[in-house]
Amino acid sequence: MELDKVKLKSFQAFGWFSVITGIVALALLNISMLSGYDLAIISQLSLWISVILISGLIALFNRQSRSLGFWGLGIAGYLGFFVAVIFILGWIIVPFP
Amino acid sequence: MESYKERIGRTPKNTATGKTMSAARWKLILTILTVALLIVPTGYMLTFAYYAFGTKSTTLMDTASNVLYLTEPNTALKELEFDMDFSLFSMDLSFDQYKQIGNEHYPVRHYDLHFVLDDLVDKEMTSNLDRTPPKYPTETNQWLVHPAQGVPEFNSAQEWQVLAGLPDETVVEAYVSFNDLYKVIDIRKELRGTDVLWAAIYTGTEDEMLSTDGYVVSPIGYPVQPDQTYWSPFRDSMSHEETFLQLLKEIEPYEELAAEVSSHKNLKLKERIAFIEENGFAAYGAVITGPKQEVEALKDSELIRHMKLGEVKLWNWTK
Repeated sequence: MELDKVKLKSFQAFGWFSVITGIVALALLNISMLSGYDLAIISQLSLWISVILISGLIALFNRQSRSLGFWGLGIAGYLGFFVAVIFILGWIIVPFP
Repeated sequence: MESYKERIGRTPKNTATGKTMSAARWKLILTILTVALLIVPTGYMLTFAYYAFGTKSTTLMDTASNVLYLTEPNTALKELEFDMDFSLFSMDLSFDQYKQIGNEHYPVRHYDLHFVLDDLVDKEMTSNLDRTPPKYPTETNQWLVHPAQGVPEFNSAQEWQVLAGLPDETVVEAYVSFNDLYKVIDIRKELRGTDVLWAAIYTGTEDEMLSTDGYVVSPIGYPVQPDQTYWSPFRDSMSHEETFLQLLKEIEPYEELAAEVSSHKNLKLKERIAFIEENGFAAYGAVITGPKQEVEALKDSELIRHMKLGEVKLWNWTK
Protein backbone atom coordinates (compact mmCIF):
# COMPACT_ATOMS: atom_id res chain seq x y z
CA MET A 1 0.00 0.00 0.00
CA GLU A 2 2.76 2.38 1.08
CA LEU A 3 4.86 1.33 -1.93
CA ASP A 4 1.96 2.11 -4.28
CA LYS A 5 1.70 5.54 -2.71
CA VAL A 6 5.42 6.17 -3.17
CA LYS A 7 5.19 4.96 -6.77
CA LEU A 8 2.25 7.27 -7.47
CA LYS A 9 4.00 10.20 -5.82
CA SER A 10 7.15 9.52 -7.89
CA PHE A 11 5.26 9.37 -11.18
CA GLN A 12 3.42 12.56 -10.26
CA ALA A 13 6.70 14.20 -9.32
CA PHE A 14 8.11 13.32 -12.75
CA GLY A 15 4.95 14.68 -14.35
CA TRP A 16 5.08 17.96 -12.46
CA PHE A 17 8.84 18.21 -13.07
CA SER A 18 8.23 17.79 -16.80
CA VAL A 19 5.52 20.45 -16.85
CA ILE A 20 7.38 22.95 -14.67
CA THR A 21 10.63 22.48 -16.62
CA GLY A 22 8.67 22.97 -19.85
CA ILE A 23 7.08 26.17 -18.55
CA VAL A 24 10.45 27.47 -17.34
CA ALA A 25 11.95 26.70 -20.77
CA LEU A 26 9.09 28.53 -22.48
CA ALA A 27 9.46 31.48 -20.10
CA LEU A 28 13.21 31.73 -20.80
CA LEU A 29 12.52 31.48 -24.52
CA ASN A 30 10.03 34.35 -24.20
CA ILE A 31 12.52 36.45 -22.25
CA SER A 32 15.21 35.75 -24.84
CA MET A 33 12.93 36.78 -27.71
CA LEU A 34 11.42 39.83 -26.07
CA SER A 35 14.77 41.14 -24.82
CA GLY A 36 16.40 40.55 -28.21
CA TYR A 37 19.43 38.86 -26.62
CA ASP A 38 20.42 35.24 -27.08
CA LEU A 39 20.26 33.63 -23.63
CA ALA A 40 22.00 30.33 -22.89
CA ILE A 41 18.64 28.54 -23.35
CA ILE A 42 18.81 28.99 -27.11
CA SER A 43 22.01 26.96 -27.42
CA GLN A 44 20.88 24.42 -24.82
CA LEU A 45 17.33 23.98 -26.05
CA SER A 46 17.90 20.37 -27.12
CA LEU A 47 19.02 19.52 -23.55
CA TRP A 48 15.90 21.15 -22.10
CA ILE A 49 13.71 19.31 -24.59
CA SER A 50 15.34 15.98 -23.70
CA VAL A 51 14.81 16.52 -19.96
CA ILE A 52 11.16 17.49 -20.46
CA LEU A 53 10.65 14.59 -22.86
CA ILE A 54 12.17 11.93 -20.60
CA SER A 55 10.37 13.04 -17.41
CA GLY A 56 7.12 13.38 -19.39
CA LEU A 57 7.51 9.86 -20.79
CA ILE A 58 8.10 8.42 -17.32
CA ALA A 59 4.97 10.18 -16.06
CA LEU A 60 2.95 8.43 -18.79
CA PHE A 61 3.40 5.04 -17.10
CA ASN A 62 0.93 5.85 -14.34
CA ARG A 63 -2.71 6.54 -15.06
CA GLN A 64 -2.94 9.28 -12.43
CA SER A 65 0.10 11.20 -13.70
CA ARG A 66 -0.58 10.53 -17.39
CA SER A 67 -2.21 13.92 -18.03
CA LEU A 68 0.87 15.68 -16.61
CA GLY A 69 3.05 13.48 -18.83
CA PHE A 70 1.08 14.44 -21.94
CA TRP A 71 1.26 18.08 -20.91
CA GLY A 72 5.07 17.91 -20.62
CA LEU A 73 5.36 16.00 -23.89
CA GLY A 74 3.17 18.62 -25.55
CA ILE A 75 5.54 21.38 -24.45
CA ALA A 76 8.58 19.36 -25.56
CA GLY A 77 6.93 18.67 -28.92
CA TYR A 78 6.13 22.37 -29.35
CA LEU A 79 9.71 23.35 -28.51
CA GLY A 80 11.04 20.78 -30.98
CA PHE A 81 8.69 22.08 -33.68
CA PHE A 82 9.75 25.65 -32.87
CA VAL A 83 13.46 24.81 -33.23
CA ALA A 84 12.85 23.03 -36.56
CA VAL A 85 10.72 25.87 -37.99
CA ILE A 86 13.12 28.62 -36.89
CA PHE A 87 16.11 26.69 -38.25
CA ILE A 88 14.58 25.95 -41.65
CA LEU A 89 12.85 29.30 -42.16
CA GLY A 90 15.86 31.16 -40.73
CA TRP A 91 17.96 29.53 -43.41
CA ILE A 92 15.50 30.75 -46.07
CA ILE A 93 15.09 34.34 -44.87
CA VAL A 94 18.68 35.21 -44.00
CA PRO A 95 20.71 35.18 -47.21
CA PHE A 96 24.11 35.39 -45.52
CA PRO A 97 26.20 32.38 -44.54
CA MET B 1 -14.91 29.68 18.60
CA GLU B 2 -15.11 26.08 19.58
CA SER B 3 -17.84 25.37 17.05
CA TYR B 4 -15.76 27.06 14.28
CA LYS B 5 -12.74 24.83 15.05
CA GLU B 6 -14.99 21.84 15.03
CA ARG B 7 -16.43 22.92 11.73
CA ILE B 8 -13.12 23.42 9.92
CA GLY B 9 -11.70 20.15 11.10
CA ARG B 10 -14.99 18.37 10.82
CA THR B 11 -14.30 15.56 8.38
CA PRO B 12 -11.22 14.18 6.60
CA LYS B 13 -13.31 14.21 3.41
CA ASN B 14 -13.20 18.04 3.36
CA THR B 15 -9.38 18.09 3.57
CA ALA B 16 -9.15 15.82 0.55
CA THR B 17 -11.55 18.04 -1.37
CA GLY B 18 -9.42 21.04 -0.40
CA LYS B 19 -6.28 19.36 -1.75
CA THR B 20 -8.03 18.41 -4.98
CA MET B 21 -9.26 21.98 -5.32
CA SER B 22 -5.76 23.29 -4.75
CA ALA B 23 -4.27 20.90 -7.35
CA ALA B 24 -7.01 21.80 -9.84
CA ARG B 25 -6.38 25.49 -9.26
CA TRP B 26 -2.63 25.02 -9.84
CA LYS B 27 -3.33 23.06 -13.00
CA LEU B 28 -5.59 25.85 -14.25
CA ILE B 29 -2.99 28.51 -13.46
CA LEU B 30 -0.21 26.54 -15.16
CA THR B 31 -2.42 25.81 -18.17
CA ILE B 32 -3.10 29.52 -18.60
CA LEU B 33 0.61 30.24 -18.13
CA THR B 34 1.57 27.61 -20.73
CA VAL B 35 -0.87 29.02 -23.28
CA ALA B 36 0.30 32.57 -22.58
CA LEU B 37 3.93 31.54 -23.03
CA LEU B 38 3.16 29.98 -26.41
CA ILE B 39 2.01 33.31 -27.87
CA VAL B 40 5.44 34.93 -28.45
CA PRO B 41 7.21 31.86 -29.95
CA THR B 42 4.19 31.24 -32.19
CA GLY B 43 4.34 34.90 -33.25
CA TYR B 44 8.01 34.40 -34.07
CA MET B 45 7.28 31.40 -36.22
CA LEU B 46 4.57 33.34 -38.04
CA THR B 47 7.01 36.24 -38.53
CA PHE B 48 9.63 33.91 -40.03
CA ALA B 49 6.96 32.27 -42.21
CA TYR B 50 5.84 35.72 -43.44
CA TYR B 51 9.39 36.75 -44.41
CA ALA B 52 10.01 33.36 -46.04
CA PHE B 53 6.78 32.91 -48.03
CA GLY B 54 4.93 36.27 -47.90
CA THR B 55 6.92 39.39 -48.69
CA LYS B 56 10.38 37.88 -48.67
CA SER B 57 13.06 39.44 -46.51
CA THR B 58 15.46 39.08 -49.43
CA THR B 59 13.08 41.03 -51.69
CA LEU B 60 12.93 43.90 -49.19
CA MET B 61 16.69 43.85 -48.83
CA ASP B 62 17.31 43.69 -52.59
CA THR B 63 14.88 46.54 -53.24
CA ALA B 64 16.49 48.67 -50.52
CA SER B 65 20.02 48.01 -51.74
CA ASN B 66 19.39 48.06 -55.50
CA VAL B 67 17.56 51.37 -55.42
CA LEU B 68 20.64 52.98 -53.88
CA TYR B 69 22.80 51.81 -56.78
CA LEU B 70 20.39 53.48 -59.20
CA THR B 71 19.45 56.66 -57.35
CA GLU B 72 22.50 57.57 -55.26
CA PRO B 73 25.38 58.39 -57.59
CA ASN B 74 28.62 56.56 -56.88
CA THR B 75 27.27 53.98 -54.41
CA ALA B 76 28.63 50.60 -53.40
CA LEU B 77 27.37 48.24 -50.69
CA LYS B 78 29.26 45.39 -49.12
CA GLU B 79 27.64 42.10 -48.21
CA LEU B 80 29.39 41.58 -44.91
CA GLU B 81 28.28 44.99 -43.75
CA PHE B 82 24.61 43.96 -43.91
CA ASP B 83 22.93 43.22 -40.62
CA MET B 84 19.50 41.63 -40.53
CA ASP B 85 17.53 41.15 -37.30
CA PHE B 86 14.06 39.81 -36.78
CA SER B 87 11.69 40.53 -33.91
CA LEU B 88 7.95 40.01 -33.55
CA PHE B 89 6.34 40.84 -36.91
CA SER B 90 9.22 43.13 -37.78
CA MET B 91 12.65 43.18 -39.37
CA ASP B 92 15.63 45.49 -38.92
CA LEU B 93 18.06 45.99 -41.74
CA SER B 94 21.25 48.00 -41.38
CA PHE B 95 24.11 48.50 -43.77
CA ASP B 96 26.83 50.91 -44.85
CA GLN B 97 27.01 52.77 -48.13
CA TYR B 98 30.42 53.38 -49.70
CA LYS B 99 31.72 55.85 -52.25
CA GLN B 100 34.75 55.50 -54.44
CA ILE B 101 36.92 58.59 -54.18
CA GLY B 102 40.15 58.25 -56.08
CA ASN B 103 41.09 54.60 -55.93
CA GLU B 104 39.60 53.74 -52.56
CA HIS B 105 36.14 53.14 -51.18
CA TYR B 106 35.08 55.15 -48.14
CA PRO B 107 32.04 54.54 -45.92
CA VAL B 108 29.80 57.56 -46.35
CA ARG B 109 26.43 56.65 -44.90
CA HIS B 110 24.93 54.19 -42.48
CA TYR B 111 21.32 53.10 -42.94
CA ASP B 112 19.03 51.63 -40.27
CA LEU B 113 15.71 50.48 -41.69
CA HIS B 114 12.90 49.14 -39.54
CA PHE B 115 10.14 47.20 -41.24
CA VAL B 116 6.87 46.09 -39.65
CA LEU B 117 5.95 43.21 -41.97
CA ASP B 118 6.60 44.83 -45.40
CA ASP B 119 6.01 48.40 -44.28
CA LEU B 120 9.06 50.60 -43.79
CA VAL B 121 8.12 52.43 -40.58
CA ASP B 122 11.44 53.97 -39.63
CA LYS B 123 14.53 55.01 -41.56
CA GLU B 124 17.60 56.42 -39.88
CA MET B 125 20.54 57.57 -41.93
CA THR B 126 23.80 58.88 -40.57
CA SER B 127 26.11 60.56 -43.04
CA ASN B 128 29.88 61.16 -43.03
CA LEU B 129 29.70 63.20 -46.23
CA ASP B 130 31.43 66.56 -46.26
CA ARG B 131 29.21 67.76 -49.07
CA THR B 132 25.66 66.53 -48.77
CA PRO B 133 23.26 66.67 -51.71
CA PRO B 134 20.06 68.69 -51.15
CA LYS B 135 17.73 66.95 -48.69
CA TYR B 136 14.66 68.24 -50.48
CA PRO B 137 15.31 68.04 -54.23
CA THR B 138 13.67 70.71 -56.39
CA GLU B 139 13.74 71.34 -60.15
CA THR B 140 16.83 73.56 -59.83
CA ASN B 141 18.89 72.47 -56.83
CA GLN B 142 20.16 69.10 -58.08
CA TRP B 143 23.81 68.41 -58.82
CA LEU B 144 23.37 66.80 -62.24
CA VAL B 145 21.72 69.04 -64.78
CA HIS B 146 20.14 68.16 -68.13
CA PRO B 147 21.34 70.30 -71.10
CA ALA B 148 17.82 71.64 -71.61
CA GLN B 149 17.69 72.99 -68.09
CA GLY B 150 18.55 76.56 -67.21
CA VAL B 151 21.16 77.68 -64.70
CA PRO B 152 21.32 75.45 -61.62
CA GLU B 153 21.40 76.76 -58.06
CA PHE B 154 25.06 75.89 -57.58
CA ASN B 155 27.65 78.13 -59.17
CA SER B 156 29.74 76.05 -61.56
CA ALA B 157 32.46 78.72 -61.92
CA GLN B 158 32.83 78.83 -58.16
CA GLU B 159 33.15 75.02 -58.04
CA TRP B 160 35.98 75.10 -60.63
CA GLN B 161 37.61 77.81 -58.53
CA VAL B 162 37.39 75.66 -55.38
CA LEU B 163 38.82 72.71 -57.31
CA ALA B 164 41.73 74.82 -58.55
CA GLY B 165 42.53 75.84 -54.97
CA LEU B 166 42.83 72.28 -53.72
CA PRO B 167 46.30 70.82 -53.11
CA ASP B 168 47.71 68.76 -55.95
CA GLU B 169 48.00 65.74 -53.65
CA THR B 170 44.25 65.23 -53.49
CA VAL B 171 41.73 63.09 -55.32
CA VAL B 172 38.23 64.36 -55.90
CA GLU B 173 34.74 63.24 -56.82
CA ALA B 174 32.97 65.51 -59.28
CA TYR B 175 29.41 65.69 -60.65
CA VAL B 176 29.70 66.75 -64.27
CA SER B 177 26.74 67.74 -66.43
CA PHE B 178 27.09 67.62 -70.19
CA ASN B 179 26.02 70.04 -72.90
CA ASP B 180 24.27 67.30 -74.80
CA LEU B 181 23.21 63.67 -74.49
CA TYR B 182 26.01 61.16 -74.99
CA LYS B 183 26.61 57.45 -74.99
CA VAL B 184 28.50 56.23 -71.93
CA ILE B 185 31.24 54.71 -74.07
CA ASP B 186 31.93 58.12 -75.63
CA ILE B 187 31.99 59.77 -72.22
CA ARG B 188 34.59 57.32 -70.98
CA LYS B 189 36.73 58.01 -74.04
CA GLU B 190 36.43 61.76 -73.59
CA LEU B 191 37.06 61.88 -69.85
CA ARG B 192 40.40 60.07 -69.92
CA GLY B 193 42.57 60.34 -66.84
CA THR B 194 39.58 59.95 -64.56
CA ASP B 195 37.26 57.08 -63.63
CA VAL B 196 33.69 57.56 -64.80
CA LEU B 197 31.80 56.03 -61.87
CA TRP B 198 28.13 56.64 -62.48
CA ALA B 199 26.12 57.82 -65.48
CA ALA B 200 22.87 59.77 -65.15
CA ILE B 201 20.50 58.48 -67.82
CA TYR B 202 17.92 60.62 -69.59
CA THR B 203 14.47 59.22 -68.90
CA GLY B 204 12.30 61.91 -70.49
CA THR B 205 11.74 63.78 -67.23
CA GLU B 206 15.08 65.50 -66.65
CA ASP B 207 14.50 68.50 -68.98
CA GLU B 208 12.51 70.09 -66.19
CA MET B 209 13.08 67.51 -63.46
CA LEU B 210 9.33 66.98 -63.42
CA SER B 211 7.32 63.87 -64.17
CA THR B 212 4.33 64.09 -66.52
CA ASP B 213 2.03 64.52 -63.53
CA GLY B 214 4.17 67.35 -62.18
CA TYR B 215 6.18 65.66 -59.41
CA VAL B 216 9.83 66.60 -58.87
CA VAL B 217 12.11 63.72 -59.86
CA SER B 218 15.84 63.19 -59.31
CA PRO B 219 18.53 61.67 -61.52
CA ILE B 220 18.66 57.93 -61.95
CA GLY B 221 21.48 56.03 -63.54
CA TYR B 222 23.91 53.19 -63.14
CA PRO B 223 27.50 52.47 -62.08
CA VAL B 224 29.83 52.41 -65.07
CA GLN B 225 32.92 50.68 -63.70
CA PRO B 226 33.01 46.86 -63.58
CA ASP B 227 31.98 45.78 -60.09
CA GLN B 228 33.12 42.38 -58.81
CA THR B 229 31.71 42.89 -55.30
CA TYR B 230 29.69 39.78 -54.48
CA TRP B 231 26.76 41.90 -53.36
CA SER B 232 26.59 44.15 -56.39
CA PRO B 233 23.67 43.62 -58.81
CA PHE B 234 26.13 44.62 -61.55
CA ARG B 235 28.53 41.78 -60.75
CA ASP B 236 29.31 39.75 -63.87
CA SER B 237 26.96 42.01 -65.84
CA MET B 238 27.71 41.88 -69.56
CA SER B 239 25.83 45.13 -70.14
CA HIS B 240 25.36 47.57 -67.27
CA GLU B 241 22.69 49.32 -69.34
CA GLU B 242 20.56 46.18 -69.59
CA THR B 243 21.11 45.36 -65.91
CA PHE B 244 20.05 48.92 -65.07
CA LEU B 245 16.81 48.53 -67.00
CA GLN B 246 16.17 45.11 -65.51
CA LEU B 247 16.71 46.46 -61.98
CA LEU B 248 14.30 49.32 -62.61
CA LYS B 249 11.67 46.75 -63.61
CA GLU B 250 12.38 44.66 -60.54
CA ILE B 251 12.05 47.66 -58.25
CA GLU B 252 8.87 48.98 -59.89
CA PRO B 253 6.42 46.79 -57.89
CA TYR B 254 8.03 48.10 -54.70
CA GLU B 255 8.35 51.70 -55.87
CA GLU B 256 6.89 53.18 -52.69
CA LEU B 257 9.41 51.36 -50.52
CA ALA B 258 12.24 52.20 -52.92
CA ALA B 259 11.36 55.92 -52.81
CA GLU B 260 11.31 55.83 -48.99
CA VAL B 261 14.76 54.23 -48.80
CA SER B 262 16.27 56.53 -51.41
CA SER B 263 16.74 60.26 -50.90
CA HIS B 264 14.56 60.76 -53.99
CA LYS B 265 11.05 61.84 -53.25
CA ASN B 266 9.53 60.39 -56.41
CA LEU B 267 10.79 57.71 -58.75
CA LYS B 268 7.99 57.56 -61.34
CA LEU B 269 9.47 54.36 -62.70
CA LYS B 270 6.67 53.37 -65.05
CA GLU B 271 7.00 56.34 -67.37
CA ARG B 272 10.81 56.37 -67.10
CA ILE B 273 11.12 52.67 -67.95
CA ALA B 274 8.79 53.16 -70.93
CA PHE B 275 10.91 56.09 -72.12
CA ILE B 276 14.19 54.17 -71.88
CA GLU B 277 12.71 51.17 -73.68
CA GLU B 278 11.60 53.44 -76.51
CA ASN B 279 14.59 55.77 -76.73
CA GLY B 280 17.55 53.83 -75.41
CA PHE B 281 20.28 54.92 -73.04
CA ALA B 282 21.74 58.40 -73.25
CA ALA B 283 23.61 60.13 -70.45
CA TYR B 284 23.34 63.83 -69.61
CA GLY B 285 25.68 63.75 -66.63
CA ALA B 286 28.13 61.58 -64.77
CA VAL B 287 30.00 61.25 -61.54
CA ILE B 288 33.74 60.98 -62.00
CA THR B 289 36.73 60.62 -59.73
CA GLY B 290 40.42 61.15 -60.20
CA PRO B 291 43.41 63.26 -59.24
CA LYS B 292 42.59 66.91 -58.77
CA GLN B 293 44.72 67.99 -61.77
CA GLU B 294 43.06 65.48 -64.11
CA VAL B 295 39.59 66.67 -63.17
CA GLU B 296 40.69 70.29 -63.36
CA ALA B 297 41.99 69.64 -66.88
CA LEU B 298 38.40 68.85 -67.94
CA LYS B 299 37.38 72.47 -67.42
CA ASP B 300 37.98 73.18 -71.08
CA SER B 301 36.29 70.01 -72.30
CA GLU B 302 33.56 70.72 -74.83
CA LEU B 303 31.49 68.00 -73.25
CA ILE B 304 31.08 69.57 -69.85
CA ARG B 305 28.60 72.34 -69.11
CA HIS B 306 28.50 72.33 -65.30
CA MET B 307 30.61 70.81 -62.55
CA LYS B 308 29.74 70.32 -58.90
CA LEU B 309 32.55 69.23 -56.61
CA GLY B 310 31.82 66.22 -54.39
CA GLU B 311 34.08 64.60 -51.82
CA VAL B 312 37.79 65.31 -51.57
CA LYS B 313 40.38 62.92 -50.11
CA LEU B 314 44.14 62.80 -49.77
CA TRP B 315 46.07 61.19 -52.62
CA ASN B 316 45.36 57.47 -53.13
CA TRP B 317 45.57 57.30 -56.94
CA THR B 318 47.66 54.38 -58.12
CA LYS B 319 46.86 54.22 -61.83
